[in-house]
Amino acid sequence: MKISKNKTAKIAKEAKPGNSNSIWRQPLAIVGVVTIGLWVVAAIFAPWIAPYDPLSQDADKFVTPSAKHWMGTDELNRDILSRVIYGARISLPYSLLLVVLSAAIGSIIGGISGYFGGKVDAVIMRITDMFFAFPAIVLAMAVAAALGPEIRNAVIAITIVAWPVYARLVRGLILNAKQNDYVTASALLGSSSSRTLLVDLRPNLSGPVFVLAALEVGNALLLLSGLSFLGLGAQPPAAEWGSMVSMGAVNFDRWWVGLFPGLAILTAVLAFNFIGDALRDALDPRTAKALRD
Amino acid sequence: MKLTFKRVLGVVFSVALISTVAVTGPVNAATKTLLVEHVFQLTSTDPGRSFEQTGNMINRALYETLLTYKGGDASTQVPGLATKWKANANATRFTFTLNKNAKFADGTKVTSADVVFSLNRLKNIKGNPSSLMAGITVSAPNASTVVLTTEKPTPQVLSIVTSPSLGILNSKVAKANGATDAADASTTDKALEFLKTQSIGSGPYTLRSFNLTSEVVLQKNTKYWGADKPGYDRIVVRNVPVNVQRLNVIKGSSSIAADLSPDQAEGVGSRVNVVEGKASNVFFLYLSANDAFSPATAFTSNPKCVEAARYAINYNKIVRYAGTGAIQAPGIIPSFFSGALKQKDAIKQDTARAKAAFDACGIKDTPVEIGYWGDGGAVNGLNFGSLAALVDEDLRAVGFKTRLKGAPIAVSLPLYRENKEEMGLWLWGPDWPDSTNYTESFSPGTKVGLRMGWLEGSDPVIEDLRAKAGVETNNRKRATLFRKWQREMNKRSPLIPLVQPAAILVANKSVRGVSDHPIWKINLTEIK
Repeated sequence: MKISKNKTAKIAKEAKPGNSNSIWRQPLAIVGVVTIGLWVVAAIFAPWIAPYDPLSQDADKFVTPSAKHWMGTDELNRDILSRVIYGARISLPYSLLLVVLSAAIGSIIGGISGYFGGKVDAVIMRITDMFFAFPAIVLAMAVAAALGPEIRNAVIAITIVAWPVYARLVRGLILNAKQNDYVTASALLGSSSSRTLLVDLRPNLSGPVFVLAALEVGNALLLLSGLSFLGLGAQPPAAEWGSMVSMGAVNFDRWWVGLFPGLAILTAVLAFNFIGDALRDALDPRTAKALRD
Repeated sequence: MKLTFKRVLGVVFSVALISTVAVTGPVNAATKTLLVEHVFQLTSTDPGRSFEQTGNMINRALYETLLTYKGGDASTQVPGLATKWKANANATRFTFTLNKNAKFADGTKVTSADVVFSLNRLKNIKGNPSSLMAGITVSAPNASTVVLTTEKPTPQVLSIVTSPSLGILNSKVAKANGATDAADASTTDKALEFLKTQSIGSGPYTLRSFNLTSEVVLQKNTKYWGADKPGYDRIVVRNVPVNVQRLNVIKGSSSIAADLSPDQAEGVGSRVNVVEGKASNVFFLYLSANDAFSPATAFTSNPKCVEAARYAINYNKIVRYAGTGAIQAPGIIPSFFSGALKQKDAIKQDTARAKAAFDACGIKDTPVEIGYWGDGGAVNGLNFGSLAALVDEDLRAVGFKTRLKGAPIAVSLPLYRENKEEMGLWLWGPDWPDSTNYTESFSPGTKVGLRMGWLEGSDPVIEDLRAKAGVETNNRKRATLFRKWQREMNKRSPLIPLVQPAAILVANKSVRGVSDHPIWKINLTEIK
């Protein structure tokens, strides 16, 4: 088959990161990065930015948003703006942590499954099927309830639920990559299984796993907030966005109690998704093109 | 016709569709239905086993007791199945004369044999409410007379017999379906499942369907013998979260919202009636007196630690959180019972005293966990997590290194009941409307006393007052003893009463006869 020079150049251009798909050329990605940047700054400098101590109960109960309390106060007289700012210290790092954990665990399991194949593959894939058969939030709720309501246990619960998607992805990539001649050559030269996996095959995985992880941060934040909303994540008096929304749901008429932490979740999840989409466009142009076409 | 897979599938779908339509078919528009929304505290509708508020509410309508109360009152007994009753001078023998017209829903006459069977079954089944019959013997000299005797003076018997757990079952039908009142009933009684499918009482309503987690449906007992006929064809009691209760009652899609807090009841509009009262629940904090349970309880068992916590708490802030109508609990006995302490007796926050006691206690940097119902658990609109956060801030302010350890009720309640908490935040609602319920439950060596790790013999003064209050028959002297008992409890017990919330019922304007009751919350039989 003959491929024209123009077509070859086009494919090369699309595949090359930093060109038309560069993350910096996408406005939504910039919005995402700026938003997350603002939240990160808020989290790091919370003690200086927040007008009040997030646990202080010295204000009045259910004060409507005003110059003194920009986002009002809650049922325990606490300043909601300060709690939203401090909430970033829980939601953002824990979401990132659990994505890293699930990506690491899922990649290792998927790698083993894809590389060794046969019965090992069959057993691991049936296990992942079992996980996919349950709605993630229901399974996470069951695990979190069994371990006890605590933010650490919520992270463990979500990690248990989230790893199979990485395992599936990595398995597919390994199955594909291990057909390459250089892998066969490496084996003929006497490389061990672990060397083949870590040295020869791993470079094929980084991009797609990174893209998937970036897309999953938003989901992780939503799941974490969801568990806290249900009382199975962060415990009082911690300022956590999900548990703050749940108090808003109980105090329906006081719209400000649930609205502002809800907006915090919305902006952070949206921003992570923008960044994830842009990273996918930049690092995985084939998928991006397929989605566009 | 050839039986292909597609045809079989078609038949299965058709049958499923027809059954669904049949089951959910249109309800008769003429059916007058009362829809009560409530956060369920329910285990069954077997009077011998049910001891929770929702169970009491439902059983009060299905089964009748010897005596009962009208409206929200819990002090003056009125006739139930018994028309007359008398007690001897030292309150050890109580004679009840049954109403000759009383009949079960199937038309069978209520006799003294049914009463003896039901009360002995309750006693021997050894379920949660069996403690109500402790020390009480029941006998029937003739078909219309029942005698309850006790070994020592027990004036509270007249209150105890009003409990829906002492509801009278049709003994013949009960026995035919696995019930027994034998001494070994705890293992041989098999009627629990049967009593979830139908009721066998004499109340104005009968059980139509029972679902532990979603709804219980009652229907009118068309043969009800009493003068006060049922007001509705059907009553649906549905398990609904508080915020949804509020929305539904405002838009008119439910008749009564049973669990709103004062804050939530604000601004419900003019289309509904708000019935305000005092809840019978008292929220309290305790510090474990079991010095061997954990490093922290080696200190919490020290009275100085309890003193530090008792005076550290800002009770006014807790009352403000609980909303209009709530009051500080000056003692564990709620305001409307005999011997309740006045507000002037209530402990006031004294941070200096708390800090001095904290230093003397020695707990310093040892972390201490506070257990409570953590997954959004709320009663009377008060969220346990929020209450825990309030208490936590005050305890930390005097130096405690507290850590909140909420858990779902299925996890946290057993820890509390098995004395496996360092500190706990819980509530108590009365099992029977008499102050002896508190002296008999919170003194050393009693039910909650043991949950707090407070063993019998720990405090002779408090135990002596408990014993005296239990046998005193003079009302004035009883009240004095209850007050003394509470004052001593406030000095030395591991118990710190916090707040008695308001009880708010929000009802559709078309609904009449709604009042809040300490034992069964709502008397469904009085609603018209």
